[in-house]
Amino acid sequence: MIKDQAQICHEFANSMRKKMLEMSEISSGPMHWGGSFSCAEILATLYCAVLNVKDKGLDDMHKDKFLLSKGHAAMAVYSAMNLSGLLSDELLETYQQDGSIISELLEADRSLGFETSGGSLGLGLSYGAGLALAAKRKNYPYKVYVLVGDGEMNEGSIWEALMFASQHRLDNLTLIIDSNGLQSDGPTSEIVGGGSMKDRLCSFGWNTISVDGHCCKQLTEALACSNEKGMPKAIIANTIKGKGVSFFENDFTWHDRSLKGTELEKAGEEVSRLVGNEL
Amino acid sequence: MNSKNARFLSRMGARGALGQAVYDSLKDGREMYVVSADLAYASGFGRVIKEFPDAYLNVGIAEQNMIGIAAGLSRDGTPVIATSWAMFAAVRAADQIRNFMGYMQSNIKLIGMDSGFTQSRFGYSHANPPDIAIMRAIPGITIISPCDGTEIYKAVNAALDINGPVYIRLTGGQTLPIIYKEPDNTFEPGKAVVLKNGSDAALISCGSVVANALKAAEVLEQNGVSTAVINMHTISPVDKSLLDSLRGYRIIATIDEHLLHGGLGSAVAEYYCGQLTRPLHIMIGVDDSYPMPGSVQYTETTQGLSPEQIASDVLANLRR
Repeated sequence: MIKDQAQICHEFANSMRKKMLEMSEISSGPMHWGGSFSCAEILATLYCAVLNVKDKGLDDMHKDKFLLSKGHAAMAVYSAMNLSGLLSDELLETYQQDGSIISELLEADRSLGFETSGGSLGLGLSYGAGLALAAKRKNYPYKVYVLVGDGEMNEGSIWEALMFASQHRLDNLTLIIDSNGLQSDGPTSEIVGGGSMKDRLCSFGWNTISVDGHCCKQLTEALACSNEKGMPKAIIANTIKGKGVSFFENDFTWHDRSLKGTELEKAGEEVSRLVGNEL
Repeated sequence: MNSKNARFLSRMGARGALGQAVYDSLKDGREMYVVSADLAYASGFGRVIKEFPDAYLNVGIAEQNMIGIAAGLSRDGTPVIATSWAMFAAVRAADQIRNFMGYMQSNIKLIGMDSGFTQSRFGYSHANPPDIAIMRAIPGITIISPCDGTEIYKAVNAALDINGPVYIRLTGGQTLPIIYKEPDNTFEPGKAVVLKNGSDAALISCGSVVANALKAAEVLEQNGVSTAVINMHTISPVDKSLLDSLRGYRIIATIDEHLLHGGLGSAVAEYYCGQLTRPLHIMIGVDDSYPMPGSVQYTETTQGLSPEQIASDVLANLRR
């Protein structure tokens, strides 16, 4: 049976989870499991079905720009890039090692394909809007995708950029919100995130779509459909923090934490069942 | 550039000189973006808005966003001029500056307008920003503080020639003192200018307060102290060879229209620190306080920065 693209993306996402667990064996400290596992399907869909970055023949102004604003999910990007052939095993093996650029939070290195630094939350969308406007003014064909967390939406600079992007009709810009409902200290809805994010984004002039962020079919459709003319697009990807490992899921203490004792083994068994082969 | 241009640029004030430099550069065909956080007219960009709409952008009153937008616009290497009041350009957006200008080395020329005491009559919200201190604390940013209209004009052009981030600190009001009366000198970032020779004392300054240093030197000469005046227009990187040439002086004074913390004086002190041969160094500037609102002249006087106060300070320390 020929696998459809959504199926390929799903398998890719679970392979990413497996890869991240492998990375824990060389890590030197806590890792951001919750926010990295919640965005696995989003990144899998981007790298398998959307971004044109695997085409080595394209020059910089043709290559799509993916910005991980929630830099805490760096390991998810490393695993996706490694599985896509964009990041070597040798480099991946330096993850969290002293002096390595492959650090816990993503740091910009264009030679490696890391378009911007993430981690200082709320910075990525401004940069993405600038990239999108430059493409408009100079007819660059690249498209811009920015991944933020729903907790990150607390940052005021995000809303400055949201207003800017609709004002300038940046229909080459897509914002993806990994809406896993949890931030460092607890549920986003109980901190400052109450109310409908979709309504807010619509009122800011964004073409807003809400999807199951673990369904690659829905993600693919939302990402692939062209933006409404003159409108930037926001995709609210409803996800589960820590998705894929039962004891990670919906527990904010797994935001960043080290695997202890038999936890790696247990997590590995659960992910292996998802992948369909032994870790 | 001749003395007529110097008078013209002086009468335009600091922001007028900025606008002229940017406009002329666009007219000359230089490709760039000109971005402001809703202060384009205050930046002297009126003609840029009319004649170069594709280069111009108003991001609104959103300085943090402005830095990110500017970084995106500069992605293909195109230089971006970005302006706001110095307090908000440098202080509010410091994290964005550190990420996009510092670490990522985006080709942004950030202009902090009306720095120092220029807006002192508005009170502390706009006056005396710690912009030099903040920019010095972010590795990888060239910091330039020009002293008069012609130097602003040349600094803007020099910054555009640099492929990387630059912070230009504008001080001085609507009419600037003319420091370079025959302004055919070259402007080289990182290379300080000796405005006046002298062998006992050296006054080191930057920005529009250089005019006070020149007047203070006259008072010192009348008191028998041979006094050099240095325009350290580039604070980062500071001109180390010039500082080396001052090691044998009896005294140097740094004159900052800025907090003492982290300003030009700090940069000089950090260079001499730990060196065996060094001059006595006094630092003149704002000492850990918020100056009361008032005119530039009033504020200078409350902070010991008038020419007479600078001269007295140096003389008192020479008598120690």
